[in-house]
Amino acid sequence: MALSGVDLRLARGQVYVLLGPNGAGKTTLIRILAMLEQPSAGHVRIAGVDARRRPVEARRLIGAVLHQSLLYGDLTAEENLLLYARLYDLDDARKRVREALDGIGLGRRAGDPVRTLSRGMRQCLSVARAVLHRPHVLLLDEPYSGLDCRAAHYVSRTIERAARGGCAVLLTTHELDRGLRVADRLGILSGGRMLAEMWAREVSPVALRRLYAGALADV
Amino acid sequence: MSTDVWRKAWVLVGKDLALEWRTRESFLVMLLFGAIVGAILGLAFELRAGGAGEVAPGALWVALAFAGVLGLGRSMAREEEDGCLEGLMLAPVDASCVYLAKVAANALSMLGVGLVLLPLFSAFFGVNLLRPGLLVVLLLGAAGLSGVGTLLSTMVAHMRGREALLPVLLLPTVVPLVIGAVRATAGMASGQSLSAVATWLRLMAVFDLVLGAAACLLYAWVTEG
Amino acid sequence: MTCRDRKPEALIGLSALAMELAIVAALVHAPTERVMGPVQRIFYFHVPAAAMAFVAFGVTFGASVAYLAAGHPVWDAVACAAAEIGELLAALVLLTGMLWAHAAWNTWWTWDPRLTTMLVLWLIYAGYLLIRRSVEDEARRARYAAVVGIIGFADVPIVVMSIRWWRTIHPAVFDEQGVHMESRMLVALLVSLVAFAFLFVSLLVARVRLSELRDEVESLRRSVL
Repeated sequence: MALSGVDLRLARGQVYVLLGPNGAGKTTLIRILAMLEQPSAGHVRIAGVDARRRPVEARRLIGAVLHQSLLYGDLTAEENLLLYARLYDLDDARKRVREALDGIGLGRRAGDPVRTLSRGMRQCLSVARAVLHRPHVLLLDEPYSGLDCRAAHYVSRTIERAARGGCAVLLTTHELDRGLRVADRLGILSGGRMLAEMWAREVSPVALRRLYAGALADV
Repeated sequence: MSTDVWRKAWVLVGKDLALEWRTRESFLVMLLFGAIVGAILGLAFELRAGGAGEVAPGALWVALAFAGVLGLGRSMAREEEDGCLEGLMLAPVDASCVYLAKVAANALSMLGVGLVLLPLFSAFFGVNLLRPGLLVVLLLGAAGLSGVGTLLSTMVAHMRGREALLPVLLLPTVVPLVIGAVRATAGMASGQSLSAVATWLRLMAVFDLVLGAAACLLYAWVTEG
Repeated sequence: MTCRDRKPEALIGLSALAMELAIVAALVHAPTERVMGPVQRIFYFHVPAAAMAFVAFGVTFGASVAYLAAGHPVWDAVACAAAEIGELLAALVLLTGMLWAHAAWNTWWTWDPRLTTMLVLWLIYAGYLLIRRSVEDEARRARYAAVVGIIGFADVPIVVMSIRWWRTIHPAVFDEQGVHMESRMLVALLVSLVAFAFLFVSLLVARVRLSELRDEVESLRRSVL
């Protein structure tokens, strides 16, 4: 999906929710910001670091949750997190991994291969993996899809905590209610264009729904 | 390159070895496949030529190259499942670091397979391949196969028909390496010293260095989505 | 950077003329070789085709590097065109080589080093063309093809070297002492070489133009739909 003329600014401590139908370009935008794809034009800057010129430095500042879990099924939960902790040069790797596992209630199953965990658990672990190195920017692509209440609750809590800690959070979803609940700011993306942006506190669920439907009808 | 790259490459190699150790699937399949190729070639040639010993070095390297293709495919499939390779690209790690680690891990499993195939092929073809100098040949051969193979297997990992594309791309490219390996192995099997086959070892080393360096530089272009 | 406005027809006409001249030079002007007889005349097409095949693969390499460095799609079109022409010329070399082998050694195929080299190159670039067919996304196709184009050409000198060491039974026309050829034969060879160079350039221009027109049609269709 091609994007054009999208100018997105994320502020520290702010949760930005990107709404849009399937094929709107949400995933492409996340992948460009996560530096997994090069935009044909335009640039990405993270806390003043130019992503193209200093990619390794920029990557250190980003945490991302994508559609896939990014976890090795045959490694244990602990081994997966330890691997990433070492790749991100965390000094207190073991301690942080331990805390992260306890935080998602996986302390007891730390030694089980990820393959044997439930989908919700895996998603929690995937989110824990993304915030392990305390990123400045947290990107989440449809983090709620197919989750049970407990896992969804954990995801929301992690997002809140990250934002409170000064992290800029961008998440995509096509569920309006959920989006409105966690958002500080909202954007509607469709057909590769940003159709509207608004503050969450200034819009009611009904108004948002009307706006969303209207924006889609215009395309 | 900084120590940072080597340290992280080591972490990644450790990850691959742990994965392989846990499942052992790829190693066993490679080994079995290598043995099957050896048995088939042995049958095919002994019935016709009588002197099976002459084809032993060629058979060994055909078996290793084919087993290597299989191992490369499996190791990349493991990275593609659940998007793990993308996870690595998200981390503050150079593509060349990921490349070096994958090359080392793949080469190690090929080397392991080679070490088991040496006595097996010695028995199959009635020659003595149990010579320490052959370790050098195995090492150079595994490094070259893995050096080019890792680049190509990463590239074809999300293409349709990847199982067929990898051998079609890889095998013609490694022809010089296989020529050198077969000649060096043949020389050593007939009792020659390392220095007597130095030409062939040098050829293999040149292949490893030139194509390895090119693949390392190009790796960033095949990991980008 | 566009060939759109330049018409390749003049160039094609010129190379047709050069080709006529080459045919006359090879079949009429050059004397019949004493030992081989008339079949030796195939040499005037075999050698220039081989030379231009190498040039073509070199152009693919250069254009691949340029594509990765600059990212302009025209470089991808040039790389692709040169590889296709190179494959065609290499096939011509293989065919004429086989005809020659049949007349000279009474066998359709010999593992002669130069013929073998050409076969390996043909296989490597067949892989290049295969990769192009296997990727749909344009930018990704261009990037992957460029990687294979670079790796393939880095391999070329090593392939040539390894196969030369491997065995040598090719009729050596050029060696350290200079050229062993009558002057009229040399003229025929040079004329043919020039003709093949013209042929290569005009095919290249026409093929790149075709790619550009195809892209234009595609973008027009997209803008209409």
